[in-house]
Parts: sequence; C-alpha cells; structure tokens
Amino acid sequence: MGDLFSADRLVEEFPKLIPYLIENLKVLLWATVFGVILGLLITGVRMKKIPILYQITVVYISFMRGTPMLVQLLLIYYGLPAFIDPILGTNISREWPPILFAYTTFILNQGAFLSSIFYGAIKGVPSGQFEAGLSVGMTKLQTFRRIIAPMAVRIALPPFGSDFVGVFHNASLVYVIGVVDIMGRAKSIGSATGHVLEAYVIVALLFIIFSMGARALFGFVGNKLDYANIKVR
Amino acid sequence: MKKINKRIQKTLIMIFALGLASATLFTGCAQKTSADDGKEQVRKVIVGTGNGYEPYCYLDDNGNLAGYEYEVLKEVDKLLPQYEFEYQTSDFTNVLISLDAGKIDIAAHQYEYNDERNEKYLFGTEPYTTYVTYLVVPSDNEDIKSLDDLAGKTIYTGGKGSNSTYIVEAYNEEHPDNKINIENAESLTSEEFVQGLLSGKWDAAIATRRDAEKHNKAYGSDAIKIVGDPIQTSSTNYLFSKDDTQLQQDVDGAIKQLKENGKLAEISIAQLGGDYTENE
Repeated sequence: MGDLFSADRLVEEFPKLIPYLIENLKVLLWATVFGVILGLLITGVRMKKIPILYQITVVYISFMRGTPMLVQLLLIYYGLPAFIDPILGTNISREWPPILFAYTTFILNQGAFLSSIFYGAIKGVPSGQFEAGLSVGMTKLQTFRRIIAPMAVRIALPPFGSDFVGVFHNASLVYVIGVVDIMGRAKSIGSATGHVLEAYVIVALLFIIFSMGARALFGFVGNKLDYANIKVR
Repeated sequence: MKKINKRIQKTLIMIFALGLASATLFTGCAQKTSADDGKEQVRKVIVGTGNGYEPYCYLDDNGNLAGYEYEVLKEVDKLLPQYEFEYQTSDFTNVLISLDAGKIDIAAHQYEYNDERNEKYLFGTEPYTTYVTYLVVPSDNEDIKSLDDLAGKTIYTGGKGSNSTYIVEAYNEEHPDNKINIENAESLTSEEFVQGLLSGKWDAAIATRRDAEKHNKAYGSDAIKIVGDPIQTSSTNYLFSKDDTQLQQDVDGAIKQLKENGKLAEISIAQLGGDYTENE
C-alpha cells in the first residue's frame, strides 16, 4: 500500500498530462459556441411554436436531457454513421476521427440544455415588460432586442455558467471513444507505469482549478450585468 | 441608462467575439486532409487496438501507441505493400464494437478463440502469441487450486467480453449450484490487481503466467502466485470482419513469414521478455 502514492510521480507526471487538457478545452469550446447557436435556434422554434419542428424539439430535448452523456456519446459514435452514411453516401464512420464525434455529441447535447436555459430566461422576464415596450411604440422586434433580451441574458447567465463547468467535466468522458484527452492520458499513464492514482489526482486538481476560474469569470460578468444594483455615479 | 446599455452591449460583443475567435481557431482541427486519391491500389486498413494493456498495447511516455501488438503489426504492414495500416486506440470493450460498426478492419488485443467470438467475427488462422491462463491467488493462500474451490467466492476477470469472463460464465452455467461471483473490470494497473487480491476484494483472478510475473515485478515482491493447472491453453489471433477473407489471408501469410524468419520471436523477446509465439 505504501507505494500507492508518491509525490515524485505526481511532479513527474504533471507536465505529461497538461498538454492533453487542450483536447477537453476544444470539446468545451465547440460545445459552447455551436451549442449556443443551436440553442438559440431551438429557442426560436419553441417561442414561435413552429409546427412539426416544435414537436421534434420537444422529443429531442427530452432525449438529450434524459439520457446520460456517456450513452449519447456512444450512440453518436457508433450509431450516427450507421444512420447518415447510407443516406448521404458518405463514410464518416471511418473517415471522421473520434474527436469529431465527440464535438458532434457535445454540440447536440448543449443545444438542448442551453435552449432550455434560454427559453426559461426569456419566459422569466415579466410579460409586463413586453407590453410596456409595445405601449411606448416599439415594434415587437425592438422590444425583444432592447428590453427582453438584455434581461434574459442576465437571468440566463448563472445557469449558463454552471452548465459551462458541467460540460467541461463531462468532456472527460470522451476517452471512451478513443480520444486521448487528459483522462485518457491519465489512464494510459496508469497502465504504462502501473501507478494510476497520481495521474487521477492531477486530473482532479486541474479540473478544480478550471472550475473555480470559470465560476469566478461568470460571477464577474454576472455582476457587470446586474445593472439593477450598479451604483450610479 | 444609456451608459448601462453600452456596458451590456460591450460585454455581449466581447463574448461574441471571443466565441468567434475560438471557433475559427479550432475549425482548423476539423478539416481532414484527404490526400489518398493518388494511390488507389493501396487499401487503407484501420487497426483497432487497446490503450491500456501493457506490454501488448499501451501509450508510451509521449502518448504514442507502443507494445507487442503494434510492433508485430508494423512488421506485417511492411510485408504487405498493398495495405497501409492506420491505428486507432480505444478501451478494450470498444475494440470489438468498432469492428462491428465497420470502423476498424483488424481487431488486435490478444484475442483468444471462443465460440461466441467465432460466430461474429473472422478469426485469423495463424496465431501470434500463446495464451495460457491460470488462477492467480495471494502467495500465502493454500486453499484455492481450481475453479471448483471458488464456489460462492469472488473472482476477478478481465472485463466484459474478455475470454476469462467467458470461461467463468461458462463454468457457472455448467455448475448452477456452485456459482462463482464474477467481478469485471478492465485495464487494471498492476497495483490495483495485486492490491485487489491481497485485500481480499477478490479471492482469485485469472491471468497468464507472464502477466502474473509482470504484476509481481511491478509491485516489488512476490505477493501473488499462479496455482493449479491452466484454466485454458490457447493462443491469440487477430479478428476480422466476417467477409474480409482476403485481408485475413494476407495477414496470416505475413505472420507465417515472420514466424519463419524469426522476427516474431525477436519481437516477443523484446516486448514480452520471452518467446511466447509457439509454446510456453
């Protein structure tokens, strides 16, 4: 048991692991940037209640929110090519590197989660605000852009922040489909050296640091947007 | 009010710009270069292997694939100019699923023959490693000699879909009143393996003699030992898709050549610390 953990190995493995964090960050960025776009589109469909599309989004969101990330990842990795390749005549099954499947999964997942956050945020703005906008002569679009959207952003920011951190944590799952991310590297260091605990400790440390940083950033932006409480100079 | 509005706008623009910048930064990674138009005769073969089974397939210090499987296949590739091998690593359980899904053409992860596998996949006919598995117990244990001694006890096997799991499951089916509890896990480190046995988490495990020796060496003492007769004496082969007979025959031919010119034994000694290519 005495050899289970050694500080030397901890120090030694640190630089080996750090570069692989980039893979997780890539997943996070793709998921966030395109997830926001997808989320906004879905929110639009839900707000406007566009027939057929609306029903599809309901099923889609309940699927994405109701199944584990790991399941989604494996379903997309193995299932998406089986579905798409025969229809489009492509061969993404073999041509796409695993990380592209990881991006796809996380974007689809985030589209669903973020649309729920956005939808909730817009609905969270009192309807009186909308009526007030119209009553002073703004068009519907103007009202939305000038009155509703800024308030909705403020409401959406805190859940968006925790979702952001959550995605980052989930991104550590991508190793199961063969992406060598920080988790995959930690495991492979473990099997190559016979010692795995140090690598996991490092992963945990890095995740904590990142999460705290992200929370601080979102807290800062949140305060900036909290204009109801900003001191007027 | 105006001032505050500006502030929001600024923040929004900043977030948007950041997003855009990162998007452009990382789209570069998505574009796959498809430069294989010129040489159509050469077939690209994707080899699926594991990343956590030292010394067969694992990632080295720089994160590159290394080990016996890789070294052998590299030589096979050299002998077969009509193919170009590419390697894809994943967890043990995912290798065969990838073969199912057509993501890979060859599965290489020390696969022993069993009926279940034979039904679904095409086995190579030219084995490239012997695989004799034994029961492994703590060195001070004198009670356990065979699977029959394990009734009601717990055994560690090498993960869902591994042959050791298959053997114990078959044993349980034959001996319904004498069942052994199976604990499945994959890619354990030597430490976890030895510790699991010493702590009594498992009463026994299944491993090859060379794996048991590897674990003892890594752990630093003769903490575990192999007992009794071999659980199974077999050898390992590559797995192919059912209809990929041409590739299977070509690879088998190459393995045969490597056996004849002594190259395979050389690799085995270098990677596994002994010649495990014909018999133990």
